[in-house]
Amino acid sequence: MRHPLSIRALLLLTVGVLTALIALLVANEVYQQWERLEKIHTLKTATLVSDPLFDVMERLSVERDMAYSLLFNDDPAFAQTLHPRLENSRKEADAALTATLQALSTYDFPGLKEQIQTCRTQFAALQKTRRQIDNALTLPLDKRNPTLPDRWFDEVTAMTLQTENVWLEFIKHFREVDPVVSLQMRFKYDLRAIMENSGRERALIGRLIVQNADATPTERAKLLRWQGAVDEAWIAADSLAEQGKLYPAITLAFKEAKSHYDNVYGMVQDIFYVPGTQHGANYPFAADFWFELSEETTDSFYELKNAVIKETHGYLDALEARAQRVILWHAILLILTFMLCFYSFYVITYRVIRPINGIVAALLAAMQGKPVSMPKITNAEDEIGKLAQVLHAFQRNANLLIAIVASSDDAIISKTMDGIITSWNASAERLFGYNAAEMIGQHINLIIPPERRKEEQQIIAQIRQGKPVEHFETMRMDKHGRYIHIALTVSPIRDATGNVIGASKTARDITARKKAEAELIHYTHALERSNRELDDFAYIASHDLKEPLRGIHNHSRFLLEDNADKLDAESVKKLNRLVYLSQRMERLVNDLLYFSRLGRQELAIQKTDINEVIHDIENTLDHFLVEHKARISIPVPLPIITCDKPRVTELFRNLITNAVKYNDRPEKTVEIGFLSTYASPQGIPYKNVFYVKDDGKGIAREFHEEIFRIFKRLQNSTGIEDGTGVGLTFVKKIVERHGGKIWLESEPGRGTTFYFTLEGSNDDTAKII
Amino acid sequence: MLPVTAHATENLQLHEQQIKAGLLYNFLKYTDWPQGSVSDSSIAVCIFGNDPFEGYLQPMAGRIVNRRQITIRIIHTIENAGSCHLLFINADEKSSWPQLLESLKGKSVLTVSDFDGFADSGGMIEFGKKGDHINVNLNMEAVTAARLRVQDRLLRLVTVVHSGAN
Repeated sequence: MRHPLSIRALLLLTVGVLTALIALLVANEVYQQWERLEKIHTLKTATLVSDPLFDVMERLSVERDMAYSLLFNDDPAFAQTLHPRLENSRKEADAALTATLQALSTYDFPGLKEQIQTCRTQFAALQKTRRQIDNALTLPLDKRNPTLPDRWFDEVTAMTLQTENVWLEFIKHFREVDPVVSLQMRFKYDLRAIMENSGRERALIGRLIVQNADATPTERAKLLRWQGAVDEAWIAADSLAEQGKLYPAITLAFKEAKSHYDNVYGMVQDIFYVPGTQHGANYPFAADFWFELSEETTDSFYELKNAVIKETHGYLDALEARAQRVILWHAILLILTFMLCFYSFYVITYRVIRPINGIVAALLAAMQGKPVSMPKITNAEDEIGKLAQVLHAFQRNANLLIAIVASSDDAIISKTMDGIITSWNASAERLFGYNAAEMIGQHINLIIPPERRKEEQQIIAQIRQGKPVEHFETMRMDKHGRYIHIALTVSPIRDATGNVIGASKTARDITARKKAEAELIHYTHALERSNRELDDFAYIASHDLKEPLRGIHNHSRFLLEDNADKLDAESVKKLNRLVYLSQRMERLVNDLLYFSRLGRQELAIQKTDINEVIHDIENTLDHFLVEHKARISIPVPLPIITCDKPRVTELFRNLITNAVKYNDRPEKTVEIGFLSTYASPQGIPYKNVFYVKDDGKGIAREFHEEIFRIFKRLQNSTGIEDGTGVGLTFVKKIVERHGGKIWLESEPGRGTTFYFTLEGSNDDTAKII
Repeated sequence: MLPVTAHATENLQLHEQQIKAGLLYNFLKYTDWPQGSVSDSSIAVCIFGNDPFEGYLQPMAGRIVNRRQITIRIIHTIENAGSCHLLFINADEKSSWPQLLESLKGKSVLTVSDFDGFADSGGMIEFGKKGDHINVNLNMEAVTAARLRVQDRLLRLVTVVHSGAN
């Protein structure tokens, strides 16, 4: 699956979308809470505006009761007491009604205007009736319109109900806002029923007192019905207060209002409500006293109503505060979300993507061979910082490799499998004369002479199989067409999956080496020729010298034999001396001849058991060894080696003979051994060392080198020496012909040990098997 | 006529006690006791001597007035009178009144009775008669001396008198 978006875009998009989603959810919640807040606010205003309607209704009912009672009485004292209170109640009712209807007119609810209008019309009619009442009160009882009291009572009741309708019409628009507030409104409505019905009771009782009349059965039935309605309303109010969460806030106010009501109606219960009771004019209190008592009850209702209003307002305040808190917290949440979003943008852009881009740019530059430095990562402890550090370390290594390649004396070139050059270092520039810019992208054939292009194909074929080509010496061509000797090392370049995708070539200029090699061969040949000439000269000289020497010897013998009688003693002595010297001369010449042969003849290399060699020498020298009371000791078996057997036999024989000869002990021991490793007293390590050790008189240090020179003999103190002094020279020559080295370790009186090796630098000489 | 009148008078007598008992609630409601002399939760109404209210006072027990629950106690000794907030003295106990008055000095107890001359002799609220109607007299000096305060609402129901003794 391809991803068309960059990681940066994806991350930013994800964070952005998440933030937007959260913001949307939060904004929705804020919006809803805001709407709710608005509703709560409206509800609060609505209750503030509409609650005075209760006052209106209550004042109207008080006015109704008093006016009603006054119409049945023409006692001036009674009128004097009650009339000011009637006026007061009228004023209060009018003020509350006018203000409240005015406030409610601002609400544009369908139906409300009509209700308000009806209320106003009824109010105007009521004022007319009030004037009629005032007129009637100035007349004696029998002159008053007998229908006026009941008409008044009905008009006020209707007015009260209309006020209630206005309230209901208004408040129905807020019923759905909050269930608790709705229940609290219903409680107030229920309380209104208590007040209305108890008001009717109060009015009728007042009238009965004023008239000094007993209640008719119909009136008593009314009283009982109203009281029943009040009792039911109390029960409903208790339930509504419970559901409307008004308890415990209004518990005491509720109980007190009910206590007060129960108390007052308890006082008059037996007087007015018990059927059959007849009092005549004997009521125990006056009407004003009754009105005072009943108004006090009304006050307790007011207190309860006010407690409920206060509670509703408190509840709405709490709702409002809660909505505001929710809005505030959501606003903070929104701000935090955006801050987090921007911080994430910052982190993604500046702490992740930008450093990664920097690293990528650096690595791209590095791939193109440009020296680069890693971008500075501010926070080295985070993941990107660690990545940068690791890549920085890689980069240092890469720079080092680039520097090594650049500063290498060898030309280092890389190319694709098609032969297209991909890199070209400074030495390649020096060697071939082309610079990197000229060569990168060119074909490698540019530096391969046409006749060697096949060879390049073979190299590529081998590389394709993953095999490197090492030290392949060939010729290449520089910019000026000059041929250059080079040694090539070609290695495959693999990709991450191991496929060969190119080759790196290291080309070393071996022109100088080739020249030196040629010179070396030339000098070696010259030296060999010179050596051969020298050996030939020695051979020819010694061979040719033998002829005259034999003549001298023979003629001296003839003189001695043929002219013995003619010669005096002195002459015989001199002639004998001549014979001896010529014989010695011959031996010297023979030795010289043999020595020259050692140098001239090729070694006959064969597998040779050194134990056998020593055994042969023992047999040959049997007589000599017995005579000198000498014994050969071999502590450990000796190895089988490849060497020239006769020469090595001669080598050991010479060393054994010397060891016996230069030993003045009565019993002599010659020890022959082999050490796979040996370190000389000077600390030089050797491998595969043979030794021949005697217990003779030893050789002073100053002679350790000298004794290997030809014809050199050490002083002959014992007189037993009869050799020519070439023995050790031969030994040295044989060792050297085998590519080995010989030396000795000795001190006078402590015996001598000769050490030698038979391995040389060349493989065709002695080899330990 | 007579039996009817007698019946009516008897009834009236009965209703007077009913109304007097009810009025005690109004006295409690519109009287302020000095701070500390009454608890937040209850207020005590006492009757000194036998209960003259024929059971009409009993419904008042447990009712709420000024956020306090009303308790009713019948007491017969002067020593117990001090812990009451409203003390109704049975007219039959008139002879104990001077001693009671003495013992209540300095105490905030609203004293109520219905014997003649109660208010004149240092009592605070006296139930009397004015024609057929119950008349309530209130001795303001006695009320003030007991550090009690009556509200205007109560004053509308009563006739304020001044005691000759104090």
